Amino acid sequence: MEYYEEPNARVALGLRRPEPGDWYHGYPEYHVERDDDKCIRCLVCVRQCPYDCTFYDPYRHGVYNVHENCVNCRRCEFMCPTSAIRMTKWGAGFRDNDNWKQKTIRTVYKQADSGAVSLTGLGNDREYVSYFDRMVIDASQVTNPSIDPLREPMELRAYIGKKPERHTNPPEVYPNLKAELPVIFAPMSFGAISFNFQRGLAMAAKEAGTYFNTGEGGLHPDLRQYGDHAIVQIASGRFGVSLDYLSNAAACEIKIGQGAKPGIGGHLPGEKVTWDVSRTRMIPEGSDALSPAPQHDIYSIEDLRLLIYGLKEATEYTRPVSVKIAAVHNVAAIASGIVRAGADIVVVDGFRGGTGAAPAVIRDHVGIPVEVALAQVDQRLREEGIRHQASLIAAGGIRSSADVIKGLALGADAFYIGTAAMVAVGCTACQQCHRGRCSWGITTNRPDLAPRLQPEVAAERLTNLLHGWAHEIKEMLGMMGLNSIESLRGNRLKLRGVGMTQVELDTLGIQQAGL
Amino acid sequence: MKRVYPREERCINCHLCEVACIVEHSETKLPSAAYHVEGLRFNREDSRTICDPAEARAAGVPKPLNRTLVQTAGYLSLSTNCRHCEEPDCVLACKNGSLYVAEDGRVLVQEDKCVGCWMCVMACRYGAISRNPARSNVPAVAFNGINHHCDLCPERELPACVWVCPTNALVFEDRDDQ
Amino acid sequence: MNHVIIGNSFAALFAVEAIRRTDQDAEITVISREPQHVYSRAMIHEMLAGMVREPMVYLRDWDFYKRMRVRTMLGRTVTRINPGLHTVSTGEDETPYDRLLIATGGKPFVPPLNGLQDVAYHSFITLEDAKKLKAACEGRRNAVVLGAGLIGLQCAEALRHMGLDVAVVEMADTVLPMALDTESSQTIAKELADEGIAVHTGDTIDLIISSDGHPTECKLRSGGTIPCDLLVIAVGVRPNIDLAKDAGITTDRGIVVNEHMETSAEHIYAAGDCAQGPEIVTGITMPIPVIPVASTQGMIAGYNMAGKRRRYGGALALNAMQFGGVQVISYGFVKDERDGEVLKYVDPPRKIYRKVIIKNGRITGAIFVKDVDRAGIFRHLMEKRIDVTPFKEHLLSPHFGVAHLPAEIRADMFTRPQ
Repeated sequence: MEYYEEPNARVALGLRRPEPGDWYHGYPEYHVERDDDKCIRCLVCVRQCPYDCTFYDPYRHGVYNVHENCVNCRRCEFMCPTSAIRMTKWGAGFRDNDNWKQKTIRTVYKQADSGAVSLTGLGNDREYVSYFDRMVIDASQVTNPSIDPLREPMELRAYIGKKPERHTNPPEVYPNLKAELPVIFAPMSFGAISFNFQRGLAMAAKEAGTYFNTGEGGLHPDLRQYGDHAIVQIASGRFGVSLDYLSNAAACEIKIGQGAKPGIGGHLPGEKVTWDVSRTRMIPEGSDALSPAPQHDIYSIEDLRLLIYGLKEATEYTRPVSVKIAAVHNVAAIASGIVRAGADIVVVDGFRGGTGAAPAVIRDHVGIPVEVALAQVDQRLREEGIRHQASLIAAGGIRSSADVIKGLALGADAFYIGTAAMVAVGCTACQQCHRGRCSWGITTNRPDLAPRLQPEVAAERLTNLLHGWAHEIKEMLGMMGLNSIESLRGNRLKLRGVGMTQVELDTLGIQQAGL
Repeated sequence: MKRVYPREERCINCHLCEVACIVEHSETKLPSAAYHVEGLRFNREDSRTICDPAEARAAGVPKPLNRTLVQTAGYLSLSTNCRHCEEPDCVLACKNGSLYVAEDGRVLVQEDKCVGCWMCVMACRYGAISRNPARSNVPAVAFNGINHHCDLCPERELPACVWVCPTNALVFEDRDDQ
Repeated sequence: MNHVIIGNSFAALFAVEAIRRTDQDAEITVISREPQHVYSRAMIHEMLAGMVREPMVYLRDWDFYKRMRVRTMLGRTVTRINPGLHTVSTGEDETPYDRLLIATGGKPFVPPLNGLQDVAYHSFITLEDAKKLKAACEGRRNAVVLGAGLIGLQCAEALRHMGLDVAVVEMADTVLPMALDTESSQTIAKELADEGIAVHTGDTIDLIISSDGHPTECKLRSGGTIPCDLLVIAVGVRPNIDLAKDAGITTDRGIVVNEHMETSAEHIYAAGDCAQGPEIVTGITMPIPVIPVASTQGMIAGYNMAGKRRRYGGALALNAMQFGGVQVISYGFVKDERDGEVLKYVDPPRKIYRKVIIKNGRITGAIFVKDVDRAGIFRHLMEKRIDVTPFKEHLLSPHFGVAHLPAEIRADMFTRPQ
């Protein structure tokens, strides 16, 4: 029987004295409870735990945990054939204090120990107001009959890109993306996520007639066949960008900012740059893939215009060009500039958006909610009469079909879903993406962990999710008496606010519930 | 004939196939019982059944045996079991004819005839045959155990290992035409 | 097609099955000197010791000949083969054949010993021998087995199990001199000693002292005397090639056959312990008297006789045995370490011993003591002549398995039907 000789296991067994640096581990966050009667010592949990939390002790013929290492990813719980494992919170934690919360204290400990930036993954987990949750949707009663989507046709197709200003004969036609439902998979780069997951996204996008976004990591040669459903990103690192990369795709996207970490570039540690990743990103194997914080050739709207038209030239004006920005203060003015610079699509990424790795302090404190950004951008573009020149994609914090409906009413054309897609394929939101050993095989390319997610399984679950959402969106449109998403776009009368101040209501451009 | 084929690029080294195999070949088909109780019904020289896990461990009672085996090397892992060959080396080597090819093509052992002589272990080039020390047809010290290998789960349509595999790293299919 | 098979053991059995699988209408005749149903000679020591019930000795069910529609001439001895006339003669009658398989196995070799002519002694080859020996054991106390080969030691172990005091006398310096190397045979010798068997190696019987035709004691060359009231001669087995020799078929140590199991005479095949076929490690022909080789040769011969051309790339000497609590599995030439790289793993307290001999990147011999799990993979490596240099350092690891093999070999083994 193999003996799992993890450093912390040896501490727990009393085989090694704790060393300085171990000590803050003395306060476990979670407790792995194991029902010894049910445990059959099959060691599935030991093999599945990538966080050095579970180990087998041959002397006691038992499975034990170093609870300090548990991140509550629940992989062992999921795999245990006898349901012998469950996670609980560890004890009382620190003394109750609403100011010095458990997490705050732990972060200080950790930083005092390491002197480093505290990294994290996934999206902002703080208790900010969720405006999505404070908006409610209208429904038809008596005077305006609702529609039954099972009996009548319902249009969910979204054309994303520049529209003509007025009708002409022959009509002006601009390159548009045609999505069968207004939900697109968010930019997640190969390297940050596993190849299998990206392949699953590609397969699901093809199946559902929508798009996936490559992120800044290039397009893997094996995914080239899904080019018709790929939005390819050009970020500050320019990883994997080639003429073939651009012209093989459905659309090009210039990444200026990311909702989870506005103002800083992506960071893929060298150990995650495997042979495959290096080939796709066109960088040496094992080298850190550090994206610069700004795009160094874009210091003004005019510079952005150069790049946008550079991409349009490269793709011979056959594909829309998108610009993605993080939702920050004055986002409306920035978006206006972007549209005037020639972008066909503007993506506004809210501060709830996820990330593969970001400093926790930036993830948690920088940016604004996508709801208000969306309302403001849509309003501004309409006021300036340039709303038709670009489509608006909202990203960052879209969790359900209800969020999609609310976002449509606030003025978005389509939505990016990233975290929701990860959760659909098994993510338990344990926020360990930055550690590169995701126990579900989603945000890792470690060869023993990545196969835990199989592309066709991911594709099936993602397709199911999209199918379910599409059905719900149809139901909600029908209940509002609408038969297409075009009729809902920017229709803020269908929304009402609950528990908001007048300033908030005005910012969102909606009325108080009851009015 | 349908056989179990591993797809190593999908294997995640969880060993659930082994668990499923043991449970499927247990009497109760309940994991806890299969491991904690049935595994201890050990036909020792004094024909006594050990029921106390601590005593069983002290006596060196083997844990229940899986017929499928996950073999690993570094990051690579794959689940292997009997290939059910058309001309099985084990049948050609079997000392007293207790191994045979059944009508449906499965390679099976007559469990009341096998004398545990190691010839099949020696002959099987896939390393797919092990020995089940819990049973013996030769009560002498020198010879114990009988041949133990995959029987493709006769009571199930899909073998248990294939059924349980979370990443479909095992497939049960007919590749005879390929 | 009229097939005649001389012999009734592994080679004959698998030849019958192969012929019947290929040709449903062929006539098959099995002629054997022994009157029993097809049985395993490798089971007779267990039979002698009373460890197994008699039915477990027989290789196939009682209706085997009927199912296979075989005409049996059991208990009949073939006296002559007439290749010109295409007949075999049993003295009383002539049996015509279209295809003939000689699977006569081996015959015991009895060395000249002083006093042997005056005493009753036992061979230990056939079921008949075992039954006779069992009957003779009645009331005996001190058995002497001459020869510490596989048969001799198995016989000794069986006699010991029956409660006799057993001494084994072996001319060579170690037990199992042909099959094992020094380290492993020492382990086996120790197991035998623990079982209470006295092993005299590097010695032989000078004189057998007898009274009334029964042995009483044996004088050893080294000078000692050991009591003896039951003598078993198990010095060795020679290929039984007399019939073939008389018929003018090319013989060497055994009946020389090619890779289709054909002898020098047309339509005459040979398989099993009497045959001398190609060996895979060296490429030359030699008799390899082990069950898997006999079975495979028989099967190949059967297919070729029935008209399905099959080739046998070559036999690999391989053996599995157990004495006391120690199992040994060996492949190829485990003693020949000349010009070879020898990898060894020794764990004396647990009696574990593993050795692999590599020459020119290919394994030429491998031996496993006690820890024998998945040893068969080495057979594959040797038979397929796979270059083991890339994964040499893993060969002796207790976790060595198919995962350590190169991907294409793994794919060949596990992604297609075998």
